[in-house]
Amino acid sequence: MSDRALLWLSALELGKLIAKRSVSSVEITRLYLRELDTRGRALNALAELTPEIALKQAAQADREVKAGKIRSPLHGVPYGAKDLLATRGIPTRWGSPAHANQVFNYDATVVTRLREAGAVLVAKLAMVELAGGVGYEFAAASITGPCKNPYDDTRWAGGSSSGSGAAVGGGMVGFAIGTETWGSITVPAAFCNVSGLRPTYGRVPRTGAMALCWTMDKIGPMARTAEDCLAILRVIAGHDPRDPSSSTEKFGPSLPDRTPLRARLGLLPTEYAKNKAPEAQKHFKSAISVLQGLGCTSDKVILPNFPYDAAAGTIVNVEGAASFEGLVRSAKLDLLADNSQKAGLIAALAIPGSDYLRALRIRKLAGPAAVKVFDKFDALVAPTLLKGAPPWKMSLNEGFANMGGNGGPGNLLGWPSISVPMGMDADGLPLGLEIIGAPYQEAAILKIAMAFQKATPHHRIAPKA
Amino acid sequence: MPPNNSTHMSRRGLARLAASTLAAAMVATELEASAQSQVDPAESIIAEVEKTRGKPLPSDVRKRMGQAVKDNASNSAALRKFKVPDGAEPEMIFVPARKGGAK
Repeated sequence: MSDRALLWLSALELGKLIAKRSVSSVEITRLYLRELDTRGRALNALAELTPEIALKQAAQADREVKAGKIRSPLHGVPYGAKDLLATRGIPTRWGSPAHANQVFNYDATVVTRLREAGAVLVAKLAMVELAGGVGYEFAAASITGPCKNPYDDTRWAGGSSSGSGAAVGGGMVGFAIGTETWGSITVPAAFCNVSGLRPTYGRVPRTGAMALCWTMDKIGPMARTAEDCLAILRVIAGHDPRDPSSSTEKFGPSLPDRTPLRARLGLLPTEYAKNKAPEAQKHFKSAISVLQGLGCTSDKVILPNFPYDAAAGTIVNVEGAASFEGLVRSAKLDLLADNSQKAGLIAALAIPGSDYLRALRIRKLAGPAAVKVFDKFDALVAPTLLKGAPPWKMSLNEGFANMGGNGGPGNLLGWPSISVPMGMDADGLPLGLEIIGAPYQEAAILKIAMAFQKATPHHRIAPKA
Repeated sequence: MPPNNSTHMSRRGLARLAASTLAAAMVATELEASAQSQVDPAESIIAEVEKTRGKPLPSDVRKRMGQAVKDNASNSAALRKFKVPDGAEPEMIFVPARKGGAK
């Protein structure tokens, strides 16, 4: 198998080859390290390469394979972690020039769990500074500069899990870990032709992860297939007593057994004409036809009327500003790369407590009311965004003016979601299909995504060499 | 009562004039205080942050504060438009509401 073919295998395919000793973990680790060091740096996808730890972990994985010990399907598979996850002795800069020298002496729980599953940490991956939740205007809002898209390096990779999207989409890691408060997994997944799973809030413990918004931050897998996402979620999900918000509910090993796939899909309202998005409309229509061919039914759905976006925006702004209050009130704030981010952080300090509490009260009312849509539907679907990635030089206010998106309700209410590739636009830029599920029903949306990927080639389309 | 054209003022008239002048002065003071309390929220938080950081904010950040405050006000207005019953509690530890109503 050629090097290029190896780089583009899914994590599970790589794991199988490693387990059969058809390829060693050290070999594939060296390949990915080389790609990250060259293409990864050129795209600004890299926060920190970790060759020493990677080669040590890979050698250990190979020794264990030889001894017949396979820790998990990810055994020996190289991965990258978004740079907001603490890694012992390796810089964790949170994408922020104000945290350029930050090094923790412990690992985030997800990093520990992946190590125990035999996965190999090859890199910390670039991100928007402080996960960008309080508003940034330019893709350059990062200590590593604008993260460029592997499908077109004049375009942005998305954010805030920019490097995770670019590295998976560019064939530079077997898989990656991203995080989402509002769109930070699904957006780069859509822009970089990646399968990105945002789990239910609390499903994956946040211990050792930078806090942007305590009540909305989620950690999830970004990979080349939905099936990979499932395998990774099985490793990283589960309660951690050090994160009281992490769920005690076990993630079941099996998916709902319904063949053919008889999922009931709710079609979220999407303004194609207003946003001049005929290509997203065409690809989405085609995706729904594929799913209907697999046995799914579909009908229009409208969520009950709540100010989801305003509540989510208020919660993110207040918690974000509070989380970084020490920085915001100091002269170190000047070190951040994006002036809108700085202004947003300061302004958010002045949001009245009554507004924040009103947002929390609305969330409490909205949760039980909105979740009732899942009595009628197994999943809600829509294009992740209505356009391909904007140029990284463009103001994101302009670039996202007609993007659409359904991030507000799902992120406010802690619902899981997956974005999977659904085709390319006329410029050769990837478009994503978003499948949103009820809380703790990741298995249902993964099953739909996996069936879709068995029937379509979109996720296998690599960027031109 | 006809208008008092006298240039001389009685004691009672003098007392009335003093009282009304004092009242006018009090109203003026209150209006001034009220105007001061309606300081641009951006300016108010800028002043507070500049005090703690010990140096002025860069001019471009100051400029962008206006938009950020406007965005927050727009969120606030949308939240206030939605009627929340008095006494409805917030969820201080967030747990997503499950299908079927169980927590």
